[in-house]
Amino acid sequence: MIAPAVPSPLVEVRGLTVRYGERVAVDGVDLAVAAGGVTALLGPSGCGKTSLLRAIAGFEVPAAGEVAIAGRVVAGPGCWVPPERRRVAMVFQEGALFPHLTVRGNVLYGLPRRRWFGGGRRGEAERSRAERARAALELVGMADLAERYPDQLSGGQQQRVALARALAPEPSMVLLDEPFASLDATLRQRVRAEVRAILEAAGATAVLVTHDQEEALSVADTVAVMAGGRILQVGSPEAVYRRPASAAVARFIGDGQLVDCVVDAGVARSVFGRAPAGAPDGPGLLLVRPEDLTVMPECFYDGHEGIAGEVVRRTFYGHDLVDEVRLHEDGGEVVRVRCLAGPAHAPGERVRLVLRHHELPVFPAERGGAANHRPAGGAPPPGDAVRS
Amino acid sequence: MRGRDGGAGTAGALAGVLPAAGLRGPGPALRPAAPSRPPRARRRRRAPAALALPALAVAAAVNLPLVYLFVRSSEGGLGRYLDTVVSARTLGLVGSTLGLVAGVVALSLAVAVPLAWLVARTDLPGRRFWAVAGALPLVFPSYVSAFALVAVLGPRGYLQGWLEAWLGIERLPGLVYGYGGALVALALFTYPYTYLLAVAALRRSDPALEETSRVLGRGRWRTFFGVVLPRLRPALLAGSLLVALYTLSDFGAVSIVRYDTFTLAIYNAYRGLFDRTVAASLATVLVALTVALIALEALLARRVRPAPPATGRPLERVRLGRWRWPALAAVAVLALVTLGLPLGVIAYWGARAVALGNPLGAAGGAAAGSLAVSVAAALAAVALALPAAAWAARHPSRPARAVERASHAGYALPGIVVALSLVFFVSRYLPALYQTLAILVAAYVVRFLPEALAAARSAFAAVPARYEEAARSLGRGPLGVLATLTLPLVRPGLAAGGGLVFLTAMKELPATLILRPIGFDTLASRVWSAASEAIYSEAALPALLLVAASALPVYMLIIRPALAERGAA
Repeated sequence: MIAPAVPSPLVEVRGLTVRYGERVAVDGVDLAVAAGGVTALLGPSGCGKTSLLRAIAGFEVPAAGEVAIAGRVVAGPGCWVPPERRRVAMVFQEGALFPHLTVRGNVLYGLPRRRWFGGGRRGEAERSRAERARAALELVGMADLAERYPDQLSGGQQQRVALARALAPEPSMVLLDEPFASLDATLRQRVRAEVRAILEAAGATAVLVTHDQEEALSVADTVAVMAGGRILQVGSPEAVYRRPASAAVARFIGDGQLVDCVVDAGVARSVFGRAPAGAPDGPGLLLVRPEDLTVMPECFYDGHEGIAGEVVRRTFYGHDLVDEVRLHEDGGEVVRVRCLAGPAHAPGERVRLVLRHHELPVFPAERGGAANHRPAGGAPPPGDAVRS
Repeated sequence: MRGRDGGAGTAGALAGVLPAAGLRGPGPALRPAAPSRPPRARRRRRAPAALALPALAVAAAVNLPLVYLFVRSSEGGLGRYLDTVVSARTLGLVGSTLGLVAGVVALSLAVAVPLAWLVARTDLPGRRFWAVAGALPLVFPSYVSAFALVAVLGPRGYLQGWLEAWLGIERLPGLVYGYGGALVALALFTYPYTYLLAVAALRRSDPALEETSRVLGRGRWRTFFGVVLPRLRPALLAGSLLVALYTLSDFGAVSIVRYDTFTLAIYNAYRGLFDRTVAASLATVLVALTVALIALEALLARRVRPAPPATGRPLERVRLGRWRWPALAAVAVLALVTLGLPLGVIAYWGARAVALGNPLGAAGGAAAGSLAVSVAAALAAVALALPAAAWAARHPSRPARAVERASHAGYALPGIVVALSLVFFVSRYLPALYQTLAILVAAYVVRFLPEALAAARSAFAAVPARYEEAARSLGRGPLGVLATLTLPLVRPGLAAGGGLVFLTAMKELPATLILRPIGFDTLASRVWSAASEAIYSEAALPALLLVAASALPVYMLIIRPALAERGAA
């Protein structure tokens, strides 16, 4: 997917730096968020993504740089707009519903009554307030439970109310800080889909902070990958997965290995054989993901390309499976291969690994050249319930 | 706030009530359930001076008189100080005081542990009722329980009157006086501290631990001693520290049963001797004993390992079988002694007082006095606790903890020590305040500030900064957030803290006796003076008012939260 060219982004962050004492949490970040859709800030804990979000919301004062929302500078040198005047709503991890108010009371909280002006139409204003609260609750499917207190709701329901509360005042955008992290794995999937649908129905612009790749890739329209206080890449989920901007992004997103290769006239040669590559000639690092390889029993091998190995373990996930194959050559490295559930390869079976022929990303070779077969990223395979 | 805080409430409530909890923060047994997720690396923010400066000032003001106590006690020169402190008399006091402490701790444990186990872990008939009844002796201050003992078993008590009518015995031996009386009067009315903590710990303990022990081949008894009791240790230690501190600082019971301990000796030295330096010197020794006790408990508690999180499964109850009825009888006898006896005495002598036409007048005046000073103390304590509480809850840091702890000095030390140091300090530096109600209220605040502090701090801590941020992002300014969110959420906690201060101030005796203006009476001082002069009919009505006034708050603020079942919501 190609991001549409938007003349003026809704949020513009320029050279933003946030510090806590000596520690630099956000380090001169530039980011533009277009109106509409969901942007995910994805990164490991401590990468500065939450600090960036809080700086946009107005809970952190930047040490340098500026933040503009809808063309208005809200934080910058000599300029500060407090959070309550930014028209930006925030949804926190546990929802942060006010425990002393009902569901309705929570939603009404962000719809302040007009006190002085409006005179005789007070009843009317009050009715429209109630109407807006009801509409917000209907949007999230919580209108029936409006009189409940937060402690009487499940985790997913609390999160939906928090979203209704955030959307009711019609903010220019919604910021979500790890909103699904406190839910258990099965509930998380469902609430994630619900929230996505609600945001779409409301036509809201949302920025989502998460450390969960699967969440960022499946929910967001745009993913900004962060590490060490900087943004490494901004792009569509497909782009950051398929075409990482750097070896660092490739290591962080998804599963796979970076292997040494040599590019010659659009073809990358590595231990796995040849693959098309859109990179300049010379040595490089080829990103091979588990789904880029096919496992073939030795007996079917027709002698063209591929590398010999031996299955050491297979892990079955239902919809697919992962074989771990120890290569015979090249130092006996173990390579992970993802297959749709197919013919079983028993551990100990001799196989050939063959590269599928599509274009693979190549990164400039790193100094020291020790990257051979280094697994990219420490992420466990999809299907594991818990990700760190 | 709607009180649905389940397990955390137990710990919070007890931590607010029990001094030991405050001394080193809630111990392992008391610590509220950990939040579902470890908090994000704490962002460093400087505490606003608007909180830190007043909190520091309060902590300093609370400690100043205590510091002055040491200055005052050395005024006669070091030689005279040592003559007083290192003497056979002082040594004897150390022995009698520690002997009482040891006995009371042992007896209270012997009552508390079996009772806690019966109501928490067995199918004892009516265990819900007994669970509350077991904690109710808390409503009787020690001078009321001692009064009840003396009135029944004393040389001219009810028992003697009964024996005289039948057997012609005119005087009973004074068994109730001295060590035995003090032991019973204190142990049977302080064991609830240990008991409540033990019940909470037993209910929290993970059934999987016991089941594992059984699966590994240990029987029920060996499991109890091998797994259950060690897990109870932090609760028993914390409870025993409370009982020990209570005994060390008790003045009411030991003075009524005339058992010579430090508090009584200090009081007599203060009242009787022209030279008050002796009282000050003795008080410093009592301070040292208190500090030593706290240090000992801290040493013992340090080796406690934190418990792994428990599975939320209900505990399997032990079937008592044919032991049901003996167990029931034992529990009933205990309740009869700890509740029936004092209530019976109060009712009996109260009825006689009314029959004799003894007017409510004196008791009424004392009640008004109690009410006035206790309300004033509660309001002042809550107001003074706010800065330190907000600081500690919102900007947790080493200085915030230090200031909070420093505010506890008056709470740990015996009331008579606090009162003496205030007398010395005020008569030297603020003579205009001497013999005024203001100084009495100040003493209550010094003594009970930590109760308000703990309640206020947990109230503030229960309002995560995230709530306030959510409110800000919904368009409310800082003042609006304070008015519509923080205050409504904090108010019940502040009210509970104030209620607790009110309750303890109502019952306070030694500081009241020393600091009250001449002619001013509280319910506590009336009960005490009538009971120590054996005019039981005059002690009964004020005691009744005192117990009636404290019964509901004790139940609401201490017993109910402590006994709340896990996940009762």
